[in-house]
Amino acid sequence: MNWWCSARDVAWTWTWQAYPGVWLFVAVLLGWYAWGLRRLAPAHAPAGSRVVRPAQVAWYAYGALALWIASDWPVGALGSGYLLSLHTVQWILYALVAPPLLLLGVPAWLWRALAARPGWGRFLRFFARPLPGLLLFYATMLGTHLPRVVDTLRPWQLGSFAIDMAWLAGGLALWWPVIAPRPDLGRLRDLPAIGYLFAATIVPTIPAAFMTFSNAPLYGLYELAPRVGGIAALEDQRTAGLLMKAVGDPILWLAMSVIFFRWARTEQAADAREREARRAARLS
Amino acid sequence: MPATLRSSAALLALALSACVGEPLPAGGGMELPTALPKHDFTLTATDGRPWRFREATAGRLTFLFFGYTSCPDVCPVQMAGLAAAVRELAPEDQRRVAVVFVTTDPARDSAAVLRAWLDQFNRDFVGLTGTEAELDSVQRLFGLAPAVRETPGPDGAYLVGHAAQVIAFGVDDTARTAYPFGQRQTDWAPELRRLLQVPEPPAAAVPLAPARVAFPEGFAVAPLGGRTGAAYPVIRSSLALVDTLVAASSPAAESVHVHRTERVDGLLVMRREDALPIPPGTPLRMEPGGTHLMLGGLVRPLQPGDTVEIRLQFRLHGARTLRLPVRAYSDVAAP
Repeated sequence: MNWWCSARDVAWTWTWQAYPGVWLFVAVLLGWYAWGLRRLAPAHAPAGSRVVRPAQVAWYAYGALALWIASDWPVGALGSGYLLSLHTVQWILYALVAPPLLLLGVPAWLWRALAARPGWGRFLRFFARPLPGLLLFYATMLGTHLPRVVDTLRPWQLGSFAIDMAWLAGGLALWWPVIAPRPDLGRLRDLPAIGYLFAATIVPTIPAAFMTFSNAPLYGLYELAPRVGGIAALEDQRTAGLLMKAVGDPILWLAMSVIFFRWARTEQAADAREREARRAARLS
Repeated sequence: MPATLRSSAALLALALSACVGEPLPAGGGMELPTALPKHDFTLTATDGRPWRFREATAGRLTFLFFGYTSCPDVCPVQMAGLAAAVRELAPEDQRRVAVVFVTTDPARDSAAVLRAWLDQFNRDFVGLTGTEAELDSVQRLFGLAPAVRETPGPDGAYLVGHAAQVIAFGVDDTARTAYPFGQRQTDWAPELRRLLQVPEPPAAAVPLAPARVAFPEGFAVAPLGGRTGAAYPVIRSSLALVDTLVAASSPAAESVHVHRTERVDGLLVMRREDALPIPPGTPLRMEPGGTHLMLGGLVRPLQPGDTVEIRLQFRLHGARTLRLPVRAYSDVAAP
């Protein structure tokens, strides 16, 4: 039995396969969340308010669900060894979907409690700056899409696990500067955050363009893999390239829109308050 | 950095270091221990007609592969690789390449199934089928173990174990390389270009002309009667490769064919050859009692002292025109 999805030299079948490592990984994520909320809440949660909002629990659960879907059979199995298009879906889930949900699911007091632990505060503040987050996201996304890296690591469970975790790390690093509690952990202000997320859309264009416009399959692993559903390797690769931009970018654009409207609402509220203050001053 | 993060980084480093080493199959052909001649066989093509392998592919770069259309792994990958590489060639070079797919699963691979499957790769790929006995014998002909049908599963589906390599016959109709599974599209393309290359003949050897050996210009023979004559040119190929004479014609005759005279059970038997290999270096001498060009339906009687023009079509050299003197039958016939 395999513990993590990796490329396998056998024809694809729709027979379910168990990957206990994936379950353990998801269980650890959920367990850590429950432990943090229960163990740290008495000492760190603000008195008189909820320990966690139901929406935050839902976000975290959706984040864990996204990781579970990306890692387990069939998406994980197909993406790690058969179809590059599913490999890209995995990357989207690992780097763009799950991290913001997981980060949003953790209440601010829990982040502050973690930041109070030795070493963590410096680490979290360091990655709340835009450059480290962006660079780590770029590095993991480019590095794990190099043909040699994919062809070398994907056939091994540990290598495949390393790729998946690198995506998750890159995704967490990308999203942390726009989600970290402000001001103590240094979250970006709204307009810089929009520019930051826009910058995150640029570099994925490189692998996406190579995949979309190459005349030959780039990855030996996916080219020589047993075919699934009669999809040709080049067709699959082009789909992967398109998915990376056509699905990946809108996620970032959605986040940019949310931040923009939040900024607009804040500005409007500030204007309204200012007008109200002026009116009050005139009346008095 | 906290201890947990340090542990994670160490785990990642361990993962990366533990996962290097075993590369994917490397591209590149496998040299055959001995050159493999292009054995002849006849199977049924997807249009239902008999298809003679050697004749139909003579002088063309030919890739021969045994597989089946339900194959989940090797066959579609090998065909896709070849198709992509062929697509990259210039149209004139594409015509010099033949890809022949022989099914190892005749029960499921009907002509229509074969054709539809091959068409997704290249409409010019040839699909062949036959009886199981015929297919087994063709595989043995090329030194391959016959394919084995595995036990069907509960749904009736089954796999077929078969040779995974593609045998490549060069333009000299000889195979020196086989390509095991693992060739990538980027590996196939340079291989095709390499295999298609025909060395330029030395300038002194162009144009191809009958060599002056026993009969310097070759000769034609005036028949004693009737409308059938014969011609005996001497052909020296200037190439380092085996060329093939594939057609001949003459304004003096309605048809020109290569015939070979053989002794069978004490009797001389004449057989028509559709393609005649021209060996490199050694001149090919056509002689009475051996290989000759049969001029059928002479349009006028040949007279000693006349000249007969014959146009020969070679696979590699292209068309060449020879003019042969006509000799009297009595000067040529053995005493």
